[in-house]
Amino acid sequence: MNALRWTLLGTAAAASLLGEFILPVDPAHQDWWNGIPAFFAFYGFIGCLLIIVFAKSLGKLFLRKREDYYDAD
Amino acid sequence: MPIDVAIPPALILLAGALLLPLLPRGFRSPFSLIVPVCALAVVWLAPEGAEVTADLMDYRLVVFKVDRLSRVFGVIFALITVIGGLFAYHVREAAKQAAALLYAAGALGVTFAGDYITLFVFWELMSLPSTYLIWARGTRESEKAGMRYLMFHVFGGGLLFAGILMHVSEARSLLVEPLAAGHSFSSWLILAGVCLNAAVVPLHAWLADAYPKATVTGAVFMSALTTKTAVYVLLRIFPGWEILITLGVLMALYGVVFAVLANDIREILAYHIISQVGYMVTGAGIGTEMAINGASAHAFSHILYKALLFMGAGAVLHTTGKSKLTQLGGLGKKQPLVFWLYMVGAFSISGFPLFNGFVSKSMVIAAAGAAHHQTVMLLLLLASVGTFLHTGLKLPYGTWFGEDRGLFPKAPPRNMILAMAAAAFFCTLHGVLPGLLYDMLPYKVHFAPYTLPHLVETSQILIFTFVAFWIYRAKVAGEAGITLDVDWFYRRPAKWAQRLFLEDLETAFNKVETLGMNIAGKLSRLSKNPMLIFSGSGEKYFSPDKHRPAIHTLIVLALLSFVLISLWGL
Repeated sequence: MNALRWTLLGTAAAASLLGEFILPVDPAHQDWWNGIPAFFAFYGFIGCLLIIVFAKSLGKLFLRKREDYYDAD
Repeated sequence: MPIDVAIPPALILLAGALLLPLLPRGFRSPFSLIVPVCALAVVWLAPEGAEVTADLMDYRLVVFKVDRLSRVFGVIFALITVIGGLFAYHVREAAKQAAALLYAAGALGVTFAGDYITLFVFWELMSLPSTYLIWARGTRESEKAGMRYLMFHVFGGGLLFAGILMHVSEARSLLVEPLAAGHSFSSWLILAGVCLNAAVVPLHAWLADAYPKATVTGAVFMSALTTKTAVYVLLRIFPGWEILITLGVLMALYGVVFAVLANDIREILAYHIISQVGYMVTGAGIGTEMAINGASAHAFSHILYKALLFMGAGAVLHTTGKSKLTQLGGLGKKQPLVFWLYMVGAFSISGFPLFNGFVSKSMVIAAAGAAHHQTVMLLLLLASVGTFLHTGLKLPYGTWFGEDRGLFPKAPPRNMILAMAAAAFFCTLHGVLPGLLYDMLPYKVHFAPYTLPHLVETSQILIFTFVAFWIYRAKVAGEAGITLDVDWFYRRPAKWAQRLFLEDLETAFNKVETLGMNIAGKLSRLSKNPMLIFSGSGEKYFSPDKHRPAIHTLIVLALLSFVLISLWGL
């Protein structure tokens, strides 16, 4: 990733975070999470980590086996 | 103007599949394109409400019935068969081409079936050709996986058939109509049979087991047809069954968790079929007009982008012979076109704005919100984080970037690229002009995807998923090995079953056989000379001169008998 791409990504991130504050409040679509600023940014970040950590630990616990696990014949 | 005569598109594909092997080699590929194009035209033009009936014994079969729900599924099944046919244009084996057409005939037959017998016949028609598309890969692995796939689907077909028989005897009607939620055993059996094909957890293991082992071109058809036909049947017969909401959310999350562990690129995609079908199953479970619309739209989008992704992964496998992340890497500069076309599919499945996943996935999530299932909404959003993580980041990063493994891919056939471009075109078309997709849906759409809150929400999720991936990208790299799934429960005991029922049983039979032969041998020797009982050893054959018992023995025996008879007479 070069500097230009990081800049673009940073701009997009900033825009998506700031975009939240200029939103018109729509009472029809108010869920509890709409009150938390940058909720979906955290959700994306934490969710991503959660999925990786959860799956990897399951794998380590008992799900991952060597390639020829089923073909001992 | 709609045509007057309604022709079941499944019959066109069936006829095509039967004719194809008779044609000269050079004509087969164009023919395998023209046939689904005709089927697509027939589906497109079929007037709503058209019906074709046939009488079978005492039953009136509705072999072809068109409404808005069946038409939207029919259109996408026929369209993907055209695109898949283009992707497989270079394939010269008649059996593979005919199998693909037969498979699509099954899917279209189920879609337009108005009665349970027609539905079941076409349902079963799908399982054999799709099994062939796995076997046709020709490896020992695919042979075994194909057999497991077939056994599983035969089992599912059995559940469905048992359910149908019971239902018909209870309801006295063959017609395919929505079943009331959860009171009769027959509807649960039908549900189980359909759920097996929809890869609903825990009946899903066949999918992730078989799809990565199918042929490059066959997997494209498989990714599109089997599960989505089952989704259609769920929408048709089981709308509003609440258990489907739970199962659907479970599938959506299960798929993304297992995709973390997968190493084979087509296995990652296969687990994401389970995850994406989860959204549709949830939609069926919610059962409102908006949810049915959302599930149908998502099935339509999903078939296009998932076929595109399978074509991309297939192109990598076709050109390098490798499909494992641990063997791939650094192909980006060597096949940029394949990479970018794949990325269109990846952007679509991840729900990027301007791609079709954005306009369909959000409809399912919004339908969950409208039905006050807030937890379902959040969990489906979490699943979409995982989708982007694997299909959009881990897989392309590991395949086209990452460590360069010194692979030199050959150029893919031009038809492969064309087919990918066609799928990419539709993925983008519906993303930019969602109205084209929404106009086909079963009910009138009251949903606008491009609103500011939705854009902000989506971009926050996607951008920060990317950030998390970038920080921890080393953690998600592929690792050699396999992942256990619920297939363990029938693959592992298979060894023990083989030992118990084949090896041990054979040993036991052998022992009994040897014992029997020994006894027979001894008896035959004895029968030649019964005197051996007394002497233990001696001549092999009885000789009256040597072995005749002495006369006094006979007299004693005669007297003894006489005494016994007299005593009895007293």
